[in-house]
Amino acid sequence: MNTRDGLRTVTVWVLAAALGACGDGLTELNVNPNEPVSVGAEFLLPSAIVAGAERLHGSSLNMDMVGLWVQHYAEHRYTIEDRYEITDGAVSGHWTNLYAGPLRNLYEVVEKGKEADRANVVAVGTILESWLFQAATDLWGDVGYAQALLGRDSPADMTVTYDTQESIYEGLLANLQAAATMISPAAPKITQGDLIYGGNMDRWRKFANSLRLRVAMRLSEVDPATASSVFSAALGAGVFTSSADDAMVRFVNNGVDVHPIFGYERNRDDHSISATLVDTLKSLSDPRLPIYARPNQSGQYVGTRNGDMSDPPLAQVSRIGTYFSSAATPAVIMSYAEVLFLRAEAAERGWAAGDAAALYREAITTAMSQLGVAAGDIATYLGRSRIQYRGGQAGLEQIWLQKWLALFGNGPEAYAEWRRTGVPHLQAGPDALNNGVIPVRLPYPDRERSLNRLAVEAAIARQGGATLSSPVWWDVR
Amino acid sequence: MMKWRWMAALLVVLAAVPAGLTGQASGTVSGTAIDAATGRPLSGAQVMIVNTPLGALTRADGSFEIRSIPAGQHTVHAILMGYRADDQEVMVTAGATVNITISFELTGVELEGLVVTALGIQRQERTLTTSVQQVGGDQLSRVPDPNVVAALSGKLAGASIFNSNTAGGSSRIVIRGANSLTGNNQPLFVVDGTPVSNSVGSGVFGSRGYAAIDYGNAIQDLNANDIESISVLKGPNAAALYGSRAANGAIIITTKKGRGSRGVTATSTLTFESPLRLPEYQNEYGQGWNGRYSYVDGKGGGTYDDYDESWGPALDMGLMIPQFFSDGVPVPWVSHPDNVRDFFETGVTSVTSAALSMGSESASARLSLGNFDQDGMLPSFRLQRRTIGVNASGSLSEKLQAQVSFQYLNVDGKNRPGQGYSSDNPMFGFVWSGRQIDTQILKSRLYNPDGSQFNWNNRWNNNPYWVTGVNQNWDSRDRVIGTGSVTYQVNPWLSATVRSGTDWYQDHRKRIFAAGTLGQSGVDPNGAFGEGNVFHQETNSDFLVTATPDLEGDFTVTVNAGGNRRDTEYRSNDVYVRNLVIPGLYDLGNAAVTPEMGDWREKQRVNSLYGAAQLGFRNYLFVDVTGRNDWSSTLPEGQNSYFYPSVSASFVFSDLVEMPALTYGKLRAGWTAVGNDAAAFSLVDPYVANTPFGGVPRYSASSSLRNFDLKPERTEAWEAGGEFRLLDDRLGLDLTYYRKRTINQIVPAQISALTGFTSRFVNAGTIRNSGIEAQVTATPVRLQNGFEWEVFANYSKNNSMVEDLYGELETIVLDSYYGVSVEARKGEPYGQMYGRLYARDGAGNIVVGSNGNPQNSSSNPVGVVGNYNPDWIGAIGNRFHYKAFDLNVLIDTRQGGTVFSMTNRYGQRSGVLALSLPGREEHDANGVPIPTSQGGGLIVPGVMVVAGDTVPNTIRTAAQSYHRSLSGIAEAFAYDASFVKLREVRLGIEVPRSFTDRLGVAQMSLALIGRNLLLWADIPNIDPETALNSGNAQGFEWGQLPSQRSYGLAVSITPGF
Repeated sequence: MNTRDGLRTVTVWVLAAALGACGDGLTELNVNPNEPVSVGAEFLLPSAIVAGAERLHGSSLNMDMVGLWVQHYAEHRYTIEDRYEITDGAVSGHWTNLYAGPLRNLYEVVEKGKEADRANVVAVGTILESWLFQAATDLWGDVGYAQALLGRDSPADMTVTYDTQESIYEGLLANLQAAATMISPAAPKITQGDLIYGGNMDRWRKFANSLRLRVAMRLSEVDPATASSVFSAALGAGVFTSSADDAMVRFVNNGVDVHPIFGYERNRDDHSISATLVDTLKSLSDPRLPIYARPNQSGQYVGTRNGDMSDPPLAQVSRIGTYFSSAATPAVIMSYAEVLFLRAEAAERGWAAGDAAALYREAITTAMSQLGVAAGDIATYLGRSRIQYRGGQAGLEQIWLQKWLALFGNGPEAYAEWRRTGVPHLQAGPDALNNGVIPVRLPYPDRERSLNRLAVEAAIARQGGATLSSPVWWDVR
Repeated sequence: MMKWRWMAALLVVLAAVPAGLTGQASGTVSGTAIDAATGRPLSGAQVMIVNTPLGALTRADGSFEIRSIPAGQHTVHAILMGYRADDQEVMVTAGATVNITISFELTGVELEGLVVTALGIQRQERTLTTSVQQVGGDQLSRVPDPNVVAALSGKLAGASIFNSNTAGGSSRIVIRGANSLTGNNQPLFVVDGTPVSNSVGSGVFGSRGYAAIDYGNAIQDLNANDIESISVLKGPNAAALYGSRAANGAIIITTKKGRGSRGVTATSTLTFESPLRLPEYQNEYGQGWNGRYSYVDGKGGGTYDDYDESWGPALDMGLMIPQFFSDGVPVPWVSHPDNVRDFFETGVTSVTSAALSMGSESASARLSLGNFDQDGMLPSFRLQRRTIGVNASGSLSEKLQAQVSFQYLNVDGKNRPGQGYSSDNPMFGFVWSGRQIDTQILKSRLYNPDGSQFNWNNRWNNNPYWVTGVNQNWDSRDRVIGTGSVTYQVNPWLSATVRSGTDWYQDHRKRIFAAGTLGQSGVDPNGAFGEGNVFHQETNSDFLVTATPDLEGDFTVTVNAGGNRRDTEYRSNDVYVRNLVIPGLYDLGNAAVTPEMGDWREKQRVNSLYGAAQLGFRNYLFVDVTGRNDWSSTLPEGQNSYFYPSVSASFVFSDLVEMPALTYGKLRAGWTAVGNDAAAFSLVDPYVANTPFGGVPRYSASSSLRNFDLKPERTEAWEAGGEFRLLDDRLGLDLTYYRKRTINQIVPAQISALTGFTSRFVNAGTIRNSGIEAQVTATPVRLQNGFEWEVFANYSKNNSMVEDLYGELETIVLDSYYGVSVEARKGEPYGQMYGRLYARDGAGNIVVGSNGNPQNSSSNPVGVVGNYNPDWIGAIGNRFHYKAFDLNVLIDTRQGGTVFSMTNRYGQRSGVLALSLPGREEHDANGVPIPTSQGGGLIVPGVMVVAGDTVPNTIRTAAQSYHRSLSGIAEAFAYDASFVKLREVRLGIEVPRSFTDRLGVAQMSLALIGRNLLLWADIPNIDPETALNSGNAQGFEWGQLPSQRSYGLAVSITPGF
């Protein structure tokens, strides 16, 4: 090979490489082969349903925070949240995993429903969104609502303003009403991914109206006029009529899709039943005691005093009952029993027709029979003088106490109702921090202060503070 | 497979090249280098043909050979550290070999030599315009470390190295501080011109709910005995030739080549490992709570028998208490002070390496075999590595040269320990523990009669021998690193090289959890297992044209132009089964639940064109200019092409100006810019598959928002420095100052979750780093009788500053761990650690609450508890040489920096560490610490608040309450991580010829070696030199396995023929 050949060879190489280097076809390599860039609503819906139920009924919010504060459960060994020692880590995960989790997925469900002109999809997305948005505002007060979840639509602006709880409640009521109205059992059904009703649109409509009862009732002390009119309208539009209508997520005993409390207790066992709950059940001779609690090693039902660092050995106290810590226990988002309690309260307040006493009895009966309490035991229970309905303010307090008992397992709703009603009268534990005051809201996560500072500071100023002891707007008791 | 076929073909061709194909227009110079005084052959001398790029290093027997020298008169310039340079004139005749003897005379420290620079180009040190440090292979293998990166500890100025404490674990190296907020900050590793991976893809098993195993950094697979030298290009200048990844510096590894004559060398080391430092445990109190304990079932049936803490009754006072092994019978409640030490075994490591080299004038080859085998300190742990290395080169004709380098590496790990806060980590089990436990009983018995686990506790913890022996893991990696190149010498001043190289590995991992395992998230009653595969391949193909036109007169010029295509492919899959049908059968067919599965594929390509030119003036002034353009697949079209230049210069002023005592002086300065691309798939939002729920398929929107408008990142840096040699070269000094800035970083910036997302990829952030590096070499003593003392020292200090982030964003959290977050916060140094501080009054006194403990609530201030980056790092190496004896001692240090120690935090909380003793000095007849009402407990030094005023604290608190209360205060467990380590000691002897001759051995050396022999550090209970993983968030320690002190014997033999 002479020099000229060599040069020619080199030149060819250079040109070949240079041409190859021009960037053509490079972007094709960057197409993600692992993950789709678009999926249908029927795949997002089940993710949102499960994530929402696991968030509100799972261990870290329900059992490790609000369920302790309403004194359903008690903490052992690490009595931290039970003494109202709240770290940012305990709070921020719930905020993040609600918004950048099920809420974001539900936003997309609604958008995809609109694009495809599928009213039933839009309605289901809206109903579930309202369920979670109400839980969020009940926990934190003012939160992102109207401007929330739009990250992809307006990526340049990464701050999100907070809406007042009052306006969020207006929005929830309007959206739920619209959703209930737009549902059309005749229109194309949701054939896949509806883990709650399996595509039964009639039940979704009842769920939307039942949620309107729950939302309206929360306004009982701040806006009774709206509460009363929405309540009667929703009732007229058709709410749950039997336990078969209950909105619930049925966890599966397959080792993987299990109830989150069962999942938690597989690895840790450091909770028991609160002495407040055990003592209340005992004092009422309530047949649910052996369902909510397990006997201790001596066969006794002994609750643990909340926020008490003396921390009795676990063998001496009652652990969470088998039904509520089983793999396939459903997460009841809203039950017929709750609807009956709401109707009883509305009847007592004169917002809706009906016999408060009868509704109260039916509510207790429904709550108990759902847990498998024998009819005879229920009748005995209803016959007890302390259970018999007294009417008036005393009647309301009976309804609220029974509702607190019936909401065992649904900590966030029990916590909201305890704050609204003040029933039962709960005392902070002996080693409680926060000046011995049971928290009445969650603090905003620190992340918001660094990522969305102006908005969160405005919200805090508007609410006159947002500490553990600052009540939310509807909490005026 | 095409690549393999041609590479195999090339090997065959090379092997078949008949020895003796002789060039027509060139000749060869060969010979031997010896010590003029003793006649001893000298290895490692650099022999250069002046005014050509040709040169060689002398071998162990002192011989060398340089081929392809243009016929004519030449000067042979030979140098060796510690000796005076030697110059000889030779006449090279075409086709002939000239034999010379280079006789070195002792002189001062001589530093100027040949240095391997980017793309394997060897350059004379004086022509370098940026900072390059070279470490000889002998320095790495002198006292072997299983990890090549760890073996660099103390040998590089400017490199911060964090080592993990298990063999096979990760070592992290960062040169001149972190450039990137959240991306890779480690340098690029290059083996014989081919960039290789230093990552083994921790992705597999990463998110499956149990503690990660540290599978180590991948570069440690290399056999240190195969390494000829390591060149470290510290600044980003190397990027012009190696691309963006070299913005963090480049570590260029050159493997040993075949030599002129046949030779066989065998080396073997045998070392023993024992814990360098174990926590200081207390032996006064056993398991329990409030001074009480009695065992019934270990899960709450007895008196606090499920509590894995040591707040129980006093030990060694004659108490009789039922315990886990006594079937309800009260037995003596006594201490076992060595129960943790006894758990560790003496590790045994053997490293054996044999190399065969041969060659002729036109072809040479080296074959090496290596075997590394460690039976670790942890029961059942074993790590084995086998390596095969082949290096071959040959001249196919006078103008055509070919080279091939090939490494096959095989790694087998067994029962690597789990890391961090997990019951899968044996050290975790000694933190949450009872101090009375006799580990030997646990060793003797693993199962109860009913097949369940036999243990001291049956709720949270596992028998430590269960963790290391019943729950097992295996991993196996096969890896091939191969490079082939062909160089065509077009004419005396123009050559062209085509090269292709690949780094390919496949990793298989399996992990089982036996039925009966406790406290392990994701393990159901019948046991669980996970299995995964990682596949990685990076292929680089490039060409380079080099022109060295002969400019008449004072100027010299070298021009390089080239191009590169880099293809990277990564694949992984894993499966996890959390419950089995039949216990003990870890097979997918035996899954009792739907397996969780993961699968990932990713490809990237970068095409590049680049050029470099060096202009020299009278051999004392040099200017380098480089430029490179990349086209990357990961950036959006229109933004995916980016150019980056550099310019640098050096000036050997000592050639111009005579200065007293100064024998050599050089100044240099340079400026560089480097662009960088994004990670794959950063542009379009994906949906993530969730495990189907009860069979219903699910997807979720990704919580990370992608960005279709990303631009390339950019780092700009400049450096200036000088090299000086004084006092007849007995003192050398190399100083560098640098400053660099990285802008437009591609980071997943955190955004408010109210947007529906938690992060968004943006171009954001500016980090500035600046610092100094100094190296000193000296020969303080050199006597006529041959005694010599040489000193090598280095020092470096880096300052970083996060100048800007994104919009109003004030911080990026790199990681957070148990209440401490490591952050890149605007206006603060990179790696700042934040956590909850003590509540203090205006005078700085600790404020206690009404219970007498330091106040610990959400109202405690959150602030800086430290920064994981050290203030400075340095090392001193000493070499004492006398006749056949050679003593090397390396001491290195890291000063400043913070480590947040969870071992201390939870060890104090759980009452197992000696730290937890204050306040329980006295106890009653039942072994219960006396209550505060009787003067027990302690008074925390500090102040209390009385009616709004702070007064000295007088509240007595119980020890258990006090020591447990501290764990919420991060400040209490953030320690100064400073340490000094006796890193390496080697006492070697060259066996005298008279003796080796009788053995029929050409050369033989013996050495006593030791590594990590002593540690001086203020931090209690742990070794502050710690890496939980190789990520950017350092400074965390949790359940650290004790680092290994290793000592033993090394033998090296070169048989005669």
